[in-house]
Amino acid sequence: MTIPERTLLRRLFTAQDLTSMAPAAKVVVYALLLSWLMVVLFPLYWLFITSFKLPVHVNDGPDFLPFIDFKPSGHAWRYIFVELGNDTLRPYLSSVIVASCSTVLCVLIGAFAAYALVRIQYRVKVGNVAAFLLFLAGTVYVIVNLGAPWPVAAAVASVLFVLFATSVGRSFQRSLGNDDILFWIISNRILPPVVVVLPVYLMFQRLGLLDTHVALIATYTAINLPIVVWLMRDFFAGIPVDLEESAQIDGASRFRIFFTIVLPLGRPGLAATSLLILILAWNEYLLALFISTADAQTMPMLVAAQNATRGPQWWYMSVLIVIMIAPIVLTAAMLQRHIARGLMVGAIKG
Amino acid sequence: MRVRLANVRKSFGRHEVVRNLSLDIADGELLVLLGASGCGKTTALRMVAGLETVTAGTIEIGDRDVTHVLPKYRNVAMVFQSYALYPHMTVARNIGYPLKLRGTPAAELDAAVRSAAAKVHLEELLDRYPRQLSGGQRQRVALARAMVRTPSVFLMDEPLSNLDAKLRSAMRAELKRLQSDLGVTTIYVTHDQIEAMTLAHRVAVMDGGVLQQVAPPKEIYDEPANLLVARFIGAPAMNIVAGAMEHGVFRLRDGAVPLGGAAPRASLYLGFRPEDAILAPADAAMLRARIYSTEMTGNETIVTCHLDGEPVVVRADKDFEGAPDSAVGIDLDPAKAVLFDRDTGNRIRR
Amino acid sequence: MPPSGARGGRDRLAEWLDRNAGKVFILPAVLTLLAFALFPLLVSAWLSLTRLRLAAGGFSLEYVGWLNFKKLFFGSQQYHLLGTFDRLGATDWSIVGAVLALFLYLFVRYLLRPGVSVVGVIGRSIAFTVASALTVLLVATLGGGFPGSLVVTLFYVFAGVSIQFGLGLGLALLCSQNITGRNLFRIVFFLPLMVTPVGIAYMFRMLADMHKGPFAHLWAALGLGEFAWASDPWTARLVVLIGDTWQWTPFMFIVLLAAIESQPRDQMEAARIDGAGGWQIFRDITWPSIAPVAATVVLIRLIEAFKIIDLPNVLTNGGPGIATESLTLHAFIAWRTQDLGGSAAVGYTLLFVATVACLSFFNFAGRKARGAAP
Ligand SMILES: Nc1ncnc2c1ncn2[C@@H]1O[C@H](COP(=O)(O)OP(=O)(O)O)[C@@H](O)[C@H]1O
Ligand SMILES: [Mg+2]
Repeated sequence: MTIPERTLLRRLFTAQDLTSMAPAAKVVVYALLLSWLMVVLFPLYWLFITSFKLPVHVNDGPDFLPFIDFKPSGHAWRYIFVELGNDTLRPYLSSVIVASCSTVLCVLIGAFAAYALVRIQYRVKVGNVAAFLLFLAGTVYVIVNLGAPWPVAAAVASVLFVLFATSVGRSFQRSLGNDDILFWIISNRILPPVVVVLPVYLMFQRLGLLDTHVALIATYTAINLPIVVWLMRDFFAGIPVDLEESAQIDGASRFRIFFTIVLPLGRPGLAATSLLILILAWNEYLLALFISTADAQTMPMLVAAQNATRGPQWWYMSVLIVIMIAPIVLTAAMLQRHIARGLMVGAIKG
Repeated sequence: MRVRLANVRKSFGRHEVVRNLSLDIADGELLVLLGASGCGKTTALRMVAGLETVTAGTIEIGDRDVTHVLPKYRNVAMVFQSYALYPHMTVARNIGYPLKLRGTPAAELDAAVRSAAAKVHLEELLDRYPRQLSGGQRQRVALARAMVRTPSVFLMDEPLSNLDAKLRSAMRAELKRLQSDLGVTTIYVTHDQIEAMTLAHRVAVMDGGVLQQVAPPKEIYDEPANLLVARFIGAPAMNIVAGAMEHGVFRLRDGAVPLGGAAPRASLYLGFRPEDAILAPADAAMLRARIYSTEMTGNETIVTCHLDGEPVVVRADKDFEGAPDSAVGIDLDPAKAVLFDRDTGNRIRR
Repeated sequence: MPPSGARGGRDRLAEWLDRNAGKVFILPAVLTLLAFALFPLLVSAWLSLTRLRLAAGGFSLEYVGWLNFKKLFFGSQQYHLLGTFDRLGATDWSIVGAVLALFLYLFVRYLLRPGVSVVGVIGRSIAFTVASALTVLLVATLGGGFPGSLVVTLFYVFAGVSIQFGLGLGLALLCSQNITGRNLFRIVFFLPLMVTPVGIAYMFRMLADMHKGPFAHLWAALGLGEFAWASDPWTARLVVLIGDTWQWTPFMFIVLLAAIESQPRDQMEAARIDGAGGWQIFRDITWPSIAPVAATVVLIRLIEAFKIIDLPNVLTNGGPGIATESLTLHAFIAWRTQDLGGSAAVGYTLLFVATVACLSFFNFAGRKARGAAP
């Protein structure tokens, strides 16, 4: 009598063939995956239903199922879109402008640099780099400490540096190559925004650009640039150089080659990178907090500010968060096919 | 247009890849650069195209010195070994790309694409993408793209090496015909001597970055300039045996060949082609050897013998039969035998 | 073909651009980074040595030397950055001693190796010194004292990144099995990455609400209904950590899954035919082939994790007290209280620690992982 039981047990724990799993293992795998699925989805579900709850439904303790536990109401949505109206739309528009412009700009500039670092050999004299840093430090000192007007000081320093680089600088021997430039570009990402934000704030103040979209776009472009270069470099390195040389012989300039051959072929990487940069720019909070106050306020700031007014009003907050997630999810859905591959290729050679 | 290379050198770092290459290619000529893989053929071709800078020397196309001219201004067309088709463009757009870069009007471009495609029998495939084509078809697209405009020079880097044997010989004939119809100066790089022999007006044999001989195929075959060329050309290659000239007779350990007119001299090599020798009874022949192996190819039998301990190949009748290790005699045609200096490797004129 | 001199101005511009393409391609990126990274870095180095004074119609800066740093490390702000120290007991000392001995051993072993370089010695000296100092700090504040923003940040970074990596790797391994619905999991697991961190903070405040949240009944049943997690330092930090993990595990998951799926299939099949079990396959085949990607993805997260601010700021507002304050939040709060120099000094401390940590990881773990790859 015990023999069939043992075979049953054994069948439960052994695979039928090489490519499939034992039934018991399969159950465990599904259980684990489904539980993480719950972990991911439940908060989002709760967010979503909360946006349709009346204050009374929230305050009375948890209600889980719409139409059964509580009757969904669009009051929060109406409040955010109709009563607040422009107060919601303005930051939203701000976010759309800032995130999309900075993504396009950042991916473009970054792709330029990434491509150049793959295909063009650079030699930068160590002596010139050191001299540049000295000149920069000197200029900063002169501007901040001696109160010299910044455009004049910057212009003078630039001229002096160019003179230096074209005369004395030529005699330096040691030089840096592409890998060093790449390392420098990527290492800028280590820089915590909070370190650079004070001078950037002062800079924009001097330029009269505080609290404008331009300031945010420029800043976001800069902070995300290292990621673009990092990811795109590997994509471009994977494009056979023959194609570019063929185009070169056929009469294309470097720029023509970049736009008609390299970019189209790097499209999967471009899509993945753009999505990542878009997410980062769309969700950025700290820099926006410093640089924009009222006119250029973005969505994360609006969401964060909810707390201050009348204590947490979860229903309004949920609406705001849902409408913040929506465009990103839509964009991601459009680009989804490329995502996994994109991140992979960028990561594998880092 | 005529192409001239004068004392061209190329080094990658300390490694000199092309040494003092001088070539004068006539208008409409098809010159084949032949040499073992790694001998610098591609590098030489790429210098003509402008894809590689020239370390020393000058390159002229027509009467223009193009040594430092960018590839796009040289008006050359190149067919790459990998074909370098743009994977994101259809066949038509691939072929039309060089014209598009020149701003050719749409109607004219379309007509040019069609006529180029017709020359290589691609009319049916204009809307396909490269990934939907077979190897031979891709090859034709690459050719059509080179022919769509009228370049000063065609440059071809092993264009047939990715095709299977049958297709290769068909394409060879087609290429030869196309080139003579178009009358465009062509530099053709290959490591395949059959290709070189069948296609070329003249063959330039390179070895280790050094040009060994430039001559029409027949001359290359019959009067190789030195041992390197002699050993490289012909399949099976020329037989080389060591010996010395004494009293009008080339003497080696196991026999002698009467060579009237040659001056007496020690340390020489004698070269003869497998088809210029015949097997004869051992006791009456000029040379005495032992059969090592016999290979019947269908229309003949290739017999490998050991002469003075060195392998020597003789083409025999397809009905030839000889047991391994049996003694055999070799008679050869003294008029077709060539002598080489053992120290310099150069051929000695008789 | 016309001689080159006769070409038009447009052509000449095009040729000039083409010849100088190298510079034109890279200059935008370099200039952007100079303006927004290098230049601010220098300015804020100087700012960290000054004190801000409000003056008529603006402000003035006064050079104060190392005062800001002195205040943070030894003076009135020490509790905020480093924390309050407890006297070290015997166990504490033995932990510190063991760690120091380990570093010393590694250092000596490096010196005895062939191919020692100056950069290597300097790098290791800095890395080991910083790590030793942080060990002392951790032991002194976590035992009986009260940790400051530096220790809290390190907690977020190291606990967060390890948990996220473990979860991400586990999920990726599960998801790479031959199961149906793989794509669904892949898409859904990616979702948290798209939610704004500020939103996540509110979401988790909502979920963790003891009375109105979805688990209210559970807490009540467990007798925890009146427990306020926001006023206990460790539960508050834990909630921040959970939020961070919820958001960033997908990143690890996605990249590691792609790495696992791109490993050579025939190797794995050969091993299975040879009779290797799941664990052996992972150890001998999967891990070596994904190690470089794993190292890169951990490095990326390490870099980003040091910058955490949104979650603690919104979830707990840094509280209770300063219990959940990260370095960036600390710097932000200093800025809000007009302590510009102090803010820059905190920022620089963060930069220093993050750079040492990331470079150490890159050199010690990253290089090795890449070297191990086939
Ligand atoms: N970009 C390069 N850098 C360094 N060495 C190179 C480069 N290109 C070619 N070489 C070297 O030059 C030699 C000749 O190469 P190539 O011209 O491609 O030979 P072939 O085409 O005759 O096979 C080879 O030894 C090759 O390794
Ligand atoms: Mg070659």
